Amino acid sequence: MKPSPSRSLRRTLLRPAPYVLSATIVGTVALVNFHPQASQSTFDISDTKLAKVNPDGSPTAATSPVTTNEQMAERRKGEVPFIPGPARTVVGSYTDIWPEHPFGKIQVAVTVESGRIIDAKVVRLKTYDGRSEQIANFSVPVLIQDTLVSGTTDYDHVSSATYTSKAYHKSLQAAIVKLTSTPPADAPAAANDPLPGLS
Amino acid sequence: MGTVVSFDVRPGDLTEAEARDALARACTLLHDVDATFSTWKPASPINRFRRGEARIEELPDEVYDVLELCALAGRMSNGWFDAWSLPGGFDPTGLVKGWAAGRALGELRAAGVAAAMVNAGGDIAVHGRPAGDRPWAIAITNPADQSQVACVVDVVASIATSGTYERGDHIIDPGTRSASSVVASASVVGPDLGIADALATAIVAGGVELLATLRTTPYAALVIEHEGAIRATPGFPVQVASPGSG
Repeated sequence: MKPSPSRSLRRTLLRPAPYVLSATIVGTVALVNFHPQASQSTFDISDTKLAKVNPDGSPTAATSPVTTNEQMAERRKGEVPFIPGPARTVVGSYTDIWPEHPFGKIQVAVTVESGRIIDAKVVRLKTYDGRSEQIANFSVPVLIQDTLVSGTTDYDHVSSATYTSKAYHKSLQAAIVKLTSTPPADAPAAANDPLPGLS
Repeated sequence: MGTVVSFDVRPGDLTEAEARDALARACTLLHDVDATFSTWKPASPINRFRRGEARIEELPDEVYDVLELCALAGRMSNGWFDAWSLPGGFDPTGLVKGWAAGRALGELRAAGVAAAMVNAGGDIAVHGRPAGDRPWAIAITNPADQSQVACVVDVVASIATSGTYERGDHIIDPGTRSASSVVASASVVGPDLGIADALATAIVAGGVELLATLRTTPYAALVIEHEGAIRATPGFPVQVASPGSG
């Protein structure tokens, strides 16, 4: 049976404290990828300011996508190496990247399997002015790229030239299309919505 | 600065709380650098300096440090990186982002984390070994297709990539003050990310001829041309080259 968002969220919260946090500084968005010594970890894009991260890293918004290993293996065929691990259901969580300052709000869904990040998607983005939209335009694809890169085995991170709004947009759209073209069968409908404010 | 900074921290012997404290300090440092060097903020020290409202000795020490690094990068690049010849006056932005990331990494290193990476909009500073004895493996994207990896590099300190492919014509030729597009992308590895960032920018503007000038520096470079050809200076630590990238 399809789990309700609140139940999914509770299940997420019951897991060990996440080791991946995000932090925002003025005009700058930071994604913190915090690797624990333990092999098992969950992923969470959490509060925007480190000082304000909940002690348990709990996300602020509801719902999480659930994808089977088979779906994920199919999706990743021919792309990046499949990450071996015990067969178990993925866990994701959504939260606001910028809940407390005027740049806007974003919700990101992240899928984790065997302690590795294997999927990430923006499910909601709200911006308030041109500047916030500009920041969102360059930060979102970077967040997605960084998140996905840390799920591969071939390399740790990516060095590339800086994004601009046009390219960010293209990159973002490409990422969104890529991420939503094969949505989990039981993903929430919001995951397939185009990004408001970024068209 | 308006860029995206991501951290990858392997705390090692540190507790999670200690590692988070170090991260918080690194973020505070980036806040401070942004406040000092933001050309978006009219009252920032760098803007006061640009407008001639403040002398260098009246400004934070960091401004002097960055000016020195800009001068050094200018000499190392035969003048192709020139923070003094940009539209709008002195603008160290091409160096500050990498420099700040390197300092943020310094906070993490000083705190004693086993390994860490700071990625400021594609310019990366690393410390330690992420797993076993292997160095950090950093992919350079293919300028013709940003979703593809051109090659993977073993990085022990820093790598910066600059190019015309993502920002359009954002490299300014200091000779003509117009946009230049000689190579598709240039990546530079070396001890200081700020310098590496500036050199990568300079090579995109100045072309492959600049690679020879790195011979007497601790920096190495890899250039991807618009046709897809890859050139690198001796010592550039390329790990693998994917088929079709050359």
